[in-house]
Amino acid sequence: MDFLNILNSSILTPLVFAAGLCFVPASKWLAIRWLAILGAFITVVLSGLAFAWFNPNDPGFQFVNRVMWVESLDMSWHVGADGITVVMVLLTGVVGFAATLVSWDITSRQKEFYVLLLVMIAGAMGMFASLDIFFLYFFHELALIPTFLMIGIWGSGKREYAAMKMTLYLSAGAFVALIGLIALYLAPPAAERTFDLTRLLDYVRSHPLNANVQRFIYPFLLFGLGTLVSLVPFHTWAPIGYGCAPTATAMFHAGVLKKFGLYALIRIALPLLPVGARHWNDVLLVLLLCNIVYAGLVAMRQKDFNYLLGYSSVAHMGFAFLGIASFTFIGLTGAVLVMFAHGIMAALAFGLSGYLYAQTGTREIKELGGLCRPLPFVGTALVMAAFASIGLPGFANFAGEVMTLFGAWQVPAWQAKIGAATVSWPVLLALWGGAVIGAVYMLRAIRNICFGPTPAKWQSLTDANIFARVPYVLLLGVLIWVGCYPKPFVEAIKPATGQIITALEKAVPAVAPKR
Amino acid sequence: MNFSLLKLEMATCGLAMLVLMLEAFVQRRDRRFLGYIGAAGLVAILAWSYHGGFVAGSGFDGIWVNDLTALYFKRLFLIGTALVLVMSVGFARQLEGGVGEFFALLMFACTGMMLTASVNDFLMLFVALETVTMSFYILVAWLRRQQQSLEAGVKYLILGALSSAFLVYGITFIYGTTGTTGFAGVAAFLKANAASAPLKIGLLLVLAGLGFKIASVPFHAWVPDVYQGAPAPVTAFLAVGSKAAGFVLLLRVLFGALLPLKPTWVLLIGALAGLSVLYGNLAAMPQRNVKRLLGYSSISHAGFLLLGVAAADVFGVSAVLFYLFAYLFTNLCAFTVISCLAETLPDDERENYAGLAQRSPLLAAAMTVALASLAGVPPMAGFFAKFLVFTAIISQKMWCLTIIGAIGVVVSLYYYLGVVKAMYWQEPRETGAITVTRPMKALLWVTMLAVIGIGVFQGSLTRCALDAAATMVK
Repeated sequence: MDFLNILNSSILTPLVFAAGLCFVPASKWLAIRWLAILGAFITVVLSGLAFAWFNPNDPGFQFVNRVMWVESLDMSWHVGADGITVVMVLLTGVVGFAATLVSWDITSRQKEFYVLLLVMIAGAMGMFASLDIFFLYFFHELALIPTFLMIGIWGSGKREYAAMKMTLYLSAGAFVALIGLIALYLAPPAAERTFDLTRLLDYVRSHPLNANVQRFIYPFLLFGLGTLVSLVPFHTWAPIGYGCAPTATAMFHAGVLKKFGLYALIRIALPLLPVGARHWNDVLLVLLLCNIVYAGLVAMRQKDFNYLLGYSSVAHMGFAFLGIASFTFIGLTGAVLVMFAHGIMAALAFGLSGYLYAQTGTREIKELGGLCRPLPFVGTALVMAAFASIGLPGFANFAGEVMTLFGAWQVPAWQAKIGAATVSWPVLLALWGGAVIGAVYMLRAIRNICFGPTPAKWQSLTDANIFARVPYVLLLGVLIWVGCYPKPFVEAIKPATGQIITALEKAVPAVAPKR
Repeated sequence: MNFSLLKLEMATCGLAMLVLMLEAFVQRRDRRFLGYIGAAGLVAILAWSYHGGFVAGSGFDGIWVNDLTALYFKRLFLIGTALVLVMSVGFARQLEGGVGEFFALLMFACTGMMLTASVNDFLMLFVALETVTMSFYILVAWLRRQQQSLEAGVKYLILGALSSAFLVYGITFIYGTTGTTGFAGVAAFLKANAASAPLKIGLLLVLAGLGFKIASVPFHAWVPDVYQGAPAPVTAFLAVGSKAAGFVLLLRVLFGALLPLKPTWVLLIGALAGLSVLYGNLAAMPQRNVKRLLGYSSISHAGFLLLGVAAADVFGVSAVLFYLFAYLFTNLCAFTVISCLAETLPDDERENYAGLAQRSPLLAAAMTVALASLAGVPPMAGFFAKFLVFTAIISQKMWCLTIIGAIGVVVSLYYYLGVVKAMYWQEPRETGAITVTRPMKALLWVTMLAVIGIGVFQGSLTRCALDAAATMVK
């Protein structure tokens, strides 16, 4: 294995630090914390380097390293990056670093906490960097199990129930997806079977899989992976899970781990099972609109700020699904950008909510109020996170969501004539759900939390100091940078999504929109 | 009469007798160190199996076969017994009476298990199996002042004897109808003639007898009580050794004698597999005693293993072989923790495990690794084992079994995580750190690293399992 490979080192650095931390005595918790921060910092630098060194003009996979792992199954340690991967790797690095930084509020059993957090970061890195279906799944599960322990040990509220529910839901979803992945592995004739994604893609290019097989396998992936992304009706784990999780876990899970389902759909299901994807697209369309509209409506009724953020993240996943379901170049590119933008935004929002909880001891929106006065920095950051969530231009979310809407608009099947005008009804619904409902619940929550009279008991709160500001500034900076200048991101993503869409149009010509 | 085929077995048996004799010359308080001699001897035999100790071929008029499958299982039994011996040394203070005999019996059982690996004849099958079972009758009831252990011993004796009776009765039917007890002869008979009703009865009875050993539904009734009552190292040995011995015999019978009836027994085994997975997992959910819970989980794992058998091809069998090795280290890891706790905790109720992470981080971590492996969570060995089994049954398009298996996996996560939950975030009843002796610590590290190591570097074991399976399934 090539340890100097930038992807390998991004995966192994947090793992090495996690293993090293096991041997530091638990009483030296400050040293443990700084070591963990150092590990996360090296990881974010490495992921930044991967993004910087990535050449958007090269259409193939870059930073490739392949080591045969299990010969008889043709399973290999195979890492490599295209535009989608580097963007997600950068997201993992940034959110992982921020999550490590905000964990000042962990006051007991710090050693275990940071070990688990670093394992999670490594797992997330691995699942995005792997080009082998087995390892893709393997790394995702590796990142999943720490969440169970973290919610259970350091969580709040109904943490036992939340930990169990989230883990069972996600494991069940992942297992259904695994059945689909195994069926996919077994679909080609025995001599051609491989877990290697690039070789599978090559094979499928010349021998598309039988249409019936595709229609059979795709729902396993759609619903299995959909559960991981909180696709309605498999979303109920998300609000309670995030509501009870410690801050860093909520940030990292909502920001990064959750994107695995979308990533695997884009990376595996769309290119390998185009006919299946087309066949099940109408079901997906209905469900994703439920995500946007129904989860948004539910979010309006939430009293706990973390539950509200949880439902809002369920709603936002609908936009990423919309981009995927549109089967258009711009829509899919937008979906990837939404994944990145929402990851940063969700981490920021959960991080700030965690700061408020650490200060006030409550997440009830009604209890809080007028916090902008005692906490000018945190309050302002929260307002900006809310603006990003609503999709105001200037934040990364706007760039992503607007692209998915453009993509959806291009789909002829979704267009309807109203009078003389041609409109796309899913876009109308999504716009209504995202811009109107989203604005209502977010702005209402922000008004209640940040503005109005400050109750006497919150007068003495202390604002974040310079140190504590670093993660929030970092996340906000990325959000605004991508929002104002998304070009390097779009340029990186475009060749990868372009290839997927070109292959799709070749396999299922009927889907191609008129250009 | 080529006795070189029996070299490994003779060495193991000799080692057991040596330990038995040495006991007379060793002072009472030093007797537990005999376990180390036994373990070291077994490791030496294991090393010998790589350099001349193992002679391939068949002999004794075809009742004995030394092929790659036999070698694979012999090594598994040697490793398992060596680890159980070390565990028993750590447990020795609780064993009353002669510990030397305890160690010797473990090694006699191991000899029996190594015999099962090479069985190619129904009578030989009975002899080998009885060697194992006889040793276990004594081992299970070893704590003779504890009511639970005695109860377990009696239950195991009665049900074990019953299953042996089934086995012998079945073998008489088979001999009566086919005129032979050799696997090859029975297979040739079945190929030439349709199976008559008495022959079918005989075969079913033999399968029932083996079902007892592997603890599959509907022959599972003894499992929970015996697992709960037997001393922890014996339970571990039952779970890893006895079950593996049952499986190698089952594979030998199915792919040796019953190959012509494959379409029929695939259905039968598939049904047993599905029932075991469902029953084992669902019945484990309400369990509060950790040893009992592992007993039910052992039934469910018999089901997962049978899923691989039901796939009935080289890949499925190789999955079973891999699974058994993964299961060996996983269970030994879990039972080492239970052995370590046996002195401190009043019993094995889950409530007593509360807050274990604060009392002994190492024990809690080892138990978590073991339970995660049993539940099939990466990067543990158990995950890859389940992955292979599921790949095998999906490749046979057994969708019904796939769904049952998937339900089993998710349900099992619930009760395994329940124990993890108790260890990590319930408040301990008593505080006080729990000390772990050095050999037990070493054992914990070895099994933990083996579980993770096999789970991450699966290549070489997969290849061994495939090679072994290919010699059995033609």
